[in-house]
Amino acid sequence: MMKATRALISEIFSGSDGPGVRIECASTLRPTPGQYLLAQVESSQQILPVPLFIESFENATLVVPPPVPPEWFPGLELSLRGPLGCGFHLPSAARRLLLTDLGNHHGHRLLSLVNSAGHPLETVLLTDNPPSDLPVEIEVLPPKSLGEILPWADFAAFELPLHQLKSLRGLSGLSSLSEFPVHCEALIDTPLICGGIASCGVCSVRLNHGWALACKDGPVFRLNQLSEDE
Amino acid sequence: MNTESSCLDRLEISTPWMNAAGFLGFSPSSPAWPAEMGAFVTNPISLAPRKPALHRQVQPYAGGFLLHTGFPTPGFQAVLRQNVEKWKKLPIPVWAHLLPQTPEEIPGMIETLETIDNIGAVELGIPPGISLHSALDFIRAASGELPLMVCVGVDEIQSDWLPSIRDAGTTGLVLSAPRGILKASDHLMRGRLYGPAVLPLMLKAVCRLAQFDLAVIASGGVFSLADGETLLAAGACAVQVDAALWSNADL
Repeated sequence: MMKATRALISEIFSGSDGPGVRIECASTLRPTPGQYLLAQVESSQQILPVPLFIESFENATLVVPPPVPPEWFPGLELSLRGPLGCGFHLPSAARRLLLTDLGNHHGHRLLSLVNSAGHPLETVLLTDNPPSDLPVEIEVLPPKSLGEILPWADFAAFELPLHQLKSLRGLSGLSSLSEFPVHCEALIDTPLICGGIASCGVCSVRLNHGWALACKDGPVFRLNQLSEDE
Repeated sequence: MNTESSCLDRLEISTPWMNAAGFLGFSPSSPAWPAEMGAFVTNPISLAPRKPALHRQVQPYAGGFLLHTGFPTPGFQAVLRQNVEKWKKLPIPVWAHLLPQTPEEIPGMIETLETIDNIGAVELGIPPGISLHSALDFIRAASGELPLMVCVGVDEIQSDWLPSIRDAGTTGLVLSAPRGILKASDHLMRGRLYGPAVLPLMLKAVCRLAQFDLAVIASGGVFSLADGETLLAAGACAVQVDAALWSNADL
């Protein structure tokens, strides 16, 4: 079983969409964008571990966007497992980044791509609910712009629950998900509870050629591999 | 009440601790894991591939969580192809948890499992809501050379089933997580219940059923060493740990 790393909540900050946290931990714990950590509060009544996606790093501090459990507080010790799963594959040559959030996270989980790129990116975020603290250099457009702007992007990252796949395809104007270019990847918003050790199936994702588990095969998948049908 | 050594002898295990089916996969994720466990219990295995449930979901509530997955599996032969070599290398016996749809599916799976090294027992999942008569059809179909553990929901087992189950050749009775219903947004969600709230139900069932001459294995409600020890003291021959394995690797 994967070894756990001890960590400490150093700050609860008020984000535009609820509280986020800063967590101090070993500097080696660095999930790539789209990967996740599982957090457990030791000696608590918390039964299931909490999946955490990182928005940015500040030296040995992880910045975790909302939502986080409301009972967490500064000074609380966590046990972290990970990094887990497969994240985005942002090409080093990419310069025009398209982010689309059709879920409930206001683009926060996708913004780690901007923060970790290591070079300037021209970025557009498609969402109906942008975070109020979004960097000014990121342009915001409504999701209905997808079909028009998709050809502009070198890389497109999406976040959505499975039931929104049809909506996404409709917004794109494409006739099927398999027509999305290979540089389009989607972070599937689904329960991530076992960290891949159980293959319990609650995070099952239908691909064109069979089933996958978001907890270990994802949660990021190439959009043209996903199936709308079950 | 069962003495610990006689219990372990009957189950052919060295310690009374193991995982519950569905909580550590078809093989352990680490080859070193878990020398201190009595057996490794596989995820449920059906003869044919099973798709995930259409409305798969996890729904927390005050006493734990309700989980609905549909127990997806790639099917019996695919599970064997992917896992037999790993099972052979484990330092503990493997209990293969079978999830048949009909009794007719069972004998072929049992005969195959009997030829595989390190299979210590078969754990037979009995479909929910069936009669004792139908349950006995499943159990008789699973009789063979391997010790047979019959797995029934703690909310479904009736005391008067036990003599018949025992006489049908069952080695042990696994009391598994109860089923429940919760409201989830706009619909009612059905699934199995896990969490500390299961412990009192499990303890009551163990106290009620331990008087029968059948090894009782409590599978649910264990979130600390003390929880498991309480069940063992109440008469359980072994305990299976479920969701605590996802959150507390040191348990």
